[in-house]
Amino acid sequence: MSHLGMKILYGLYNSIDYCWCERCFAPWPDMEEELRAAHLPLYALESGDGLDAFDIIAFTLQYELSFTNVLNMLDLAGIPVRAAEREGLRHLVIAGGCCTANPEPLADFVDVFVIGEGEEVSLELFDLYRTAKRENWDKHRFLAAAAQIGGCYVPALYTPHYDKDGNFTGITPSDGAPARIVKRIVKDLDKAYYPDCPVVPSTEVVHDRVMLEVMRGCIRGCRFCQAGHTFRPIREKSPETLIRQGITQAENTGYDEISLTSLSTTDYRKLDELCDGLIDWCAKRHISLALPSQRADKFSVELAQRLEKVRRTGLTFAPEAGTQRLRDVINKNIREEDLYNACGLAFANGWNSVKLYYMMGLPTETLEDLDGIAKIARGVVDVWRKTSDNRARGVRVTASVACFVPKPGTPFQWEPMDTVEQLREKQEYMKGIMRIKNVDFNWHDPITSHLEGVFARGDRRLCAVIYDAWRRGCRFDGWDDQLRMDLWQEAFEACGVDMAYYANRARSFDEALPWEHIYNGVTREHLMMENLRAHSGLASEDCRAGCAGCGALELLEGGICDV
Amino acid sequence: MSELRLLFEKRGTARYISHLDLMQVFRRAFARADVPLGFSKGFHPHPAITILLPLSTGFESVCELLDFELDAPRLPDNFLYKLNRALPAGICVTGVSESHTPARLIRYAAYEIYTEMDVTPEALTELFSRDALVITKRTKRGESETNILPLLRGFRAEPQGDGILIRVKVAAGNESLNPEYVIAAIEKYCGVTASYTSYLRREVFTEDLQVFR
Ligand code: SF4
Repeated sequence: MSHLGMKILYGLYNSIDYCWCERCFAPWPDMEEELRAAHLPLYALESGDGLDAFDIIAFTLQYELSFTNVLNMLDLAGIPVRAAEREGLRHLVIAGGCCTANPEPLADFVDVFVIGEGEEVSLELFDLYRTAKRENWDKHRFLAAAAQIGGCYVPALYTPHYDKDGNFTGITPSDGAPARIVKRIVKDLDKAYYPDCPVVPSTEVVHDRVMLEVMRGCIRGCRFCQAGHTFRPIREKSPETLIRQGITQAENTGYDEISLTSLSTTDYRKLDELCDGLIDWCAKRHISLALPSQRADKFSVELAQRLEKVRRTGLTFAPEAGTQRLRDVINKNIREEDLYNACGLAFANGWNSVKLYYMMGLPTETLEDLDGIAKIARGVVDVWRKTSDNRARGVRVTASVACFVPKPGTPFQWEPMDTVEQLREKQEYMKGIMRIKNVDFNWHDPITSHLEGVFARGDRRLCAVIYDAWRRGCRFDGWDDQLRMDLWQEAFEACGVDMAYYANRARSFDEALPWEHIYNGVTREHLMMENLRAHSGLASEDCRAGCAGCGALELLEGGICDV
Repeated sequence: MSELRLLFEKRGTARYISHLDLMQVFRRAFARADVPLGFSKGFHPHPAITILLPLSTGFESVCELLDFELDAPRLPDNFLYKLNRALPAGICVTGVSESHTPARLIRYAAYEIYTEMDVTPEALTELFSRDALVITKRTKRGESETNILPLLRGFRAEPQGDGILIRVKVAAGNESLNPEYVIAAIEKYCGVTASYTSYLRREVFTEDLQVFR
């Protein structure tokens, strides 16, 4: 319910006279049981019609560990899960979202992947679908024509090749499909559709507020970050557009919070102007303005206070790594002093809790880097002692450490991921050094990250594993209490597929990668160069300080990045 | 600022909106209808909305009461129309008043309980005319054996469709009885299990069984 892309596309599709779009979410296992017992199909929320009544079923793929849910939802609707088993034009299954940076593990199940931003391309696809339906095309003819639409990837028209050792060597298209599928983008965000009145749920959901998307893309180029690389080029919305959209949405929804969202909102150049335009309007109505995350080097108490005029929330920073050396490797250009300064300012102005986000298992990481995480946590508590205006209230520093998963489309797409054992060992070590007064240490079992790491850089041989695991009962794999690693293990064994081959193996630059026919606009050369710089411990400048020529601006066809 | 009281219904799928979510639903509906609410003072101001007698999630009602503070000299024209347009399906405001009867005067709530189980209405009438019906009741201090009859008024049962319609007033407010215990008592004493039960709150009353508003 809280996914912005879904809100945009839902509104957009319903604004077209020939299109009727409804929502459907994966039912929790208890609901699934009831549906199956009552022989009811999985149904759409607005009409209650079964999914099988719809022409097109579109999935947003936000997380690798939701793949079995895709299969399960189709099955619950009585729709064959394999694309090849769905005949005719009915029940066309399409998918988009950030996991399409490597759609291969779902190639057997999805008819058309939409690569990039869906606003324009999905309408072209629907248009084609209408023609095909009217003229009674067969599915193959439709798919071949769909593959000609920019940004549409029809996996059935591509054949992967492997050498005698089972290594992927390349993929060849047929029926005139393009060798490379280039991501689609919306060039001018000010002119793009934005929903006036998204659905407001009557029960509590996460991120339940007005989401005002201030820009797309990110200037930072953190080397681990998939969104930072695949959502380029950088495009901003004007403050005028944003103020209008924010007020309209707040009026129409009644939300009491407007969140300025993007990958790095403090990098939005006209943030002051935007806040000036919204703050008084909001304050009068008890609506708060929120920034989802701050950069320590850009932190301004004045800004934070203005934003928090109505309600004060905690501060979050994401240093991601414990030492300057490792932060240079991952290109997270935050210095410890910046962090301490930001915290000091905040503490002096009444804040008393800070959340810090980190990763472990980053390339080149040593124990010293982990020690750095504890050192910073201690440092922040020290800063609080020196700067707090009210020491009686106490301070809470939370350090959350996630496991690093190398993602396709990033400079780290060639890197081996730490094994589960390595990650567990590091966690044990962290638990020991993070016993610090006023500091909470959050961590997560690495097994889910491991599975995520397998699928993130998987190829089509994983389709069989996903199918097998789903048949054995796997779903909601991203939920600790639902993940059945034993069943996954059985499925991998039954299919003769080795998890470590995908997750823990270093790739060489010469190797063909199974997702490289999907082109997100950033060249392989740029990613390679960034990888080499990482291993030399060299940070790179952000797009504003100096364009590195990553390639993304070519998607603007003559335009330039809005840095 | 004036304090006002709404009378509203909660029917259909809206019965699944919990008490806490319902406050949020109303807060947003007021905002969408552009009716300014008064806010509490302090570090975390929140809108001054109180739902008088929280209804169990899953129950329907035609007599819910909500107090709010209006931050304007008077209600806008077409207030009920605007607010109802802004509320989700199933929630419908049927009246607004300036009543200041304090909530602590609520003593009873009348329910209609429709249930399907293997007993006759006559058997139930007989059961509820006994001297005592003792069931295990959850209280703040843990479980206790409670005779529920002193907490009930005017029990009536009659056949309806495939089941039985029970009308009963249960204690509400300070010392209260969840009407689910009425079904629990029947199940215990008659040795049956209800295959389906639904609850509708019809009315709230004061000590002397006057309608509370
Ligand atoms: S083209 Fe240059 S400015 Fe644009 S995203 Fe790439 S590196 Fe940044």
